[in-house]
Amino acid sequence: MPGEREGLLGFFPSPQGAAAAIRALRDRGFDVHTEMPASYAAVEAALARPVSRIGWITLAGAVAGALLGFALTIGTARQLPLIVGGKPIVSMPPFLVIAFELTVLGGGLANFGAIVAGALCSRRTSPVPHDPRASVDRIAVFVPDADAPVEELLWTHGAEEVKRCGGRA
Amino acid sequence: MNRAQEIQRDVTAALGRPSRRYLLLLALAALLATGGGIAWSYLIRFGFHYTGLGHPVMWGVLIASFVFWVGIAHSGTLISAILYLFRARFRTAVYRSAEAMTVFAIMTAALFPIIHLGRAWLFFWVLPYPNQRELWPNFRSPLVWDVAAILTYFIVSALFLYTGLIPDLAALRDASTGRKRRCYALLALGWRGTDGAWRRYGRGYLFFAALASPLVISVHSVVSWDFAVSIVPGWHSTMFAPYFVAGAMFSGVAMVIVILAALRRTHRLEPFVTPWHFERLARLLLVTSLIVTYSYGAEHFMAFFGESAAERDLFVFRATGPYAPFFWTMILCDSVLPLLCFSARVRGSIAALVVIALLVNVGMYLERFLIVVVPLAHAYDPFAWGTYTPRLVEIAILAGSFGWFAFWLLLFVKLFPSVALAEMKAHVAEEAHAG
Repeated sequence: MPGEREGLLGFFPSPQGAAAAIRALRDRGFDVHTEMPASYAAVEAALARPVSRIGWITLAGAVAGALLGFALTIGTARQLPLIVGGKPIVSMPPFLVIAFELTVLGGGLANFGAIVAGALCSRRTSPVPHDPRASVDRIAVFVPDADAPVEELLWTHGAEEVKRCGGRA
Repeated sequence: MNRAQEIQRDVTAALGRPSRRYLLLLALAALLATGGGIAWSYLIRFGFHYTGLGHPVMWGVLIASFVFWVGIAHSGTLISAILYLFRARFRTAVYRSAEAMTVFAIMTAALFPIIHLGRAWLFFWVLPYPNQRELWPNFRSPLVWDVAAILTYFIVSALFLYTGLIPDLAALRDASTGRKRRCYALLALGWRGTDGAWRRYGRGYLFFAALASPLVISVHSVVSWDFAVSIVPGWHSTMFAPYFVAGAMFSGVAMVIVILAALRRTHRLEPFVTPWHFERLARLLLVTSLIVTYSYGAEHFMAFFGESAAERDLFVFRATGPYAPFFWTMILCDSVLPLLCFSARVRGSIAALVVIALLVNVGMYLERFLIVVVPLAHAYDPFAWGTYTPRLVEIAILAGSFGWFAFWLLLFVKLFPSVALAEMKAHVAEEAHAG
């Protein structure tokens, strides 16, 4: 994979062990990356990454949907100004319904796109060499450009396997 | 073998070679759906004369079925989105099948307005596109709101379901070989479970839940406004939106109980979907039943103490006229029987809950039928009063809709894990640490 780097890869059977190892490594200033089969709260807390800004993309999609909803309803009503049921040509209550639905649709599509794009981007830039076990039942903790003290730390915190992985930078 | 491996093994065990019983069920579902399709083709060929529809009851089983299936869809989003926001722990093992039920129920519901068009091949006229007729849809009509609401609900629910599936598809990809692996790899979109990916995923999933929650309330409100924005007595009520939403949650939870009980047996999900989950669902069923019962009381209260003699007369007609057996069956199934869920013994018995849930769905279908048909049959003008009896072709289409729904659901549970693998692994790890 394009982003993979050389370093030490440890496999942990439990998130608590992985979290303890990550905290110990980060306290010593090491750069730590993971691959795991589920979103383990303990591991994410140990990694302490900043909150994702995906919400802004979702918001942008929702706003675009709302604008499209109003533009569509108001624009088509003005172009075909039929008086129906004595209601005004540009009627806000019914148009709000359409605009609301398109707001949610826009937000949902943008959100999904952002999640998928983020996953694909992460796949390209992540330095962790992929191991199938990290999708099933193991938490892979990777420290790029690591040496013996890191290996010892990983073993100490319950890694069941530690291997050196080479890769293109 | 650690707990995560056990979860993976147990949940994916059902994804293997289909058994004879499974193939039989799939064939039965396909047969029912085909029968419904043949009935529909009969209507297209010979016209709606062969339905029971006619003045004054121009909306019947087809519209009642539309409302019923939209209602069934709601519980999936209630469990997967709303309960996610409330951090309800019992949700983890049950939400995948509930969310799948939502998507397929919406696919089923969407068929009915198209069938009811008559000239179904012109359904695309409801979409806003520039055309040589220089016409646009009337966005002031609730029927057009329905199009927007149902389409949005389908797309957002499908994306929500798919997003939740992605990590599980990656797990299946890495545990498979050959053609299966290639198929799962394609669907998994290259998911690798990196910390960056999970960070965005967790936040994105939260926003999906936040978007889906008001959406689910809005969709059935919009469907209720098909009726409430008219002036027909019994329809023209401000109560319709919450009435429909509560009824939708109620019937949806009942369907979830039935589907989960079946899946639990066929997929050997006993370690994951336990009596505790059914006990929690029974409480949800009881609460929604009480809300629906209150709604019945409120609508009768408003009819009897309101200004409209026509509405008062309508409610007397409903309880004492030709549709009285349907009305009292509805009361029994929706308001009386669910009270048994006050008993811990009943809540602890999956068999009892399945029976109650099946009867609730019967009662809720009757409720939709009574809402659609009775106000039309007994509106303002006594000289225009009439009755409606569904014909065989409409019953066949209704049965076909169950076959259509079951077909897609059976395919889904054979191809994809019916319990969320990733969430289950995280959930079990947290419990083990807390324990």
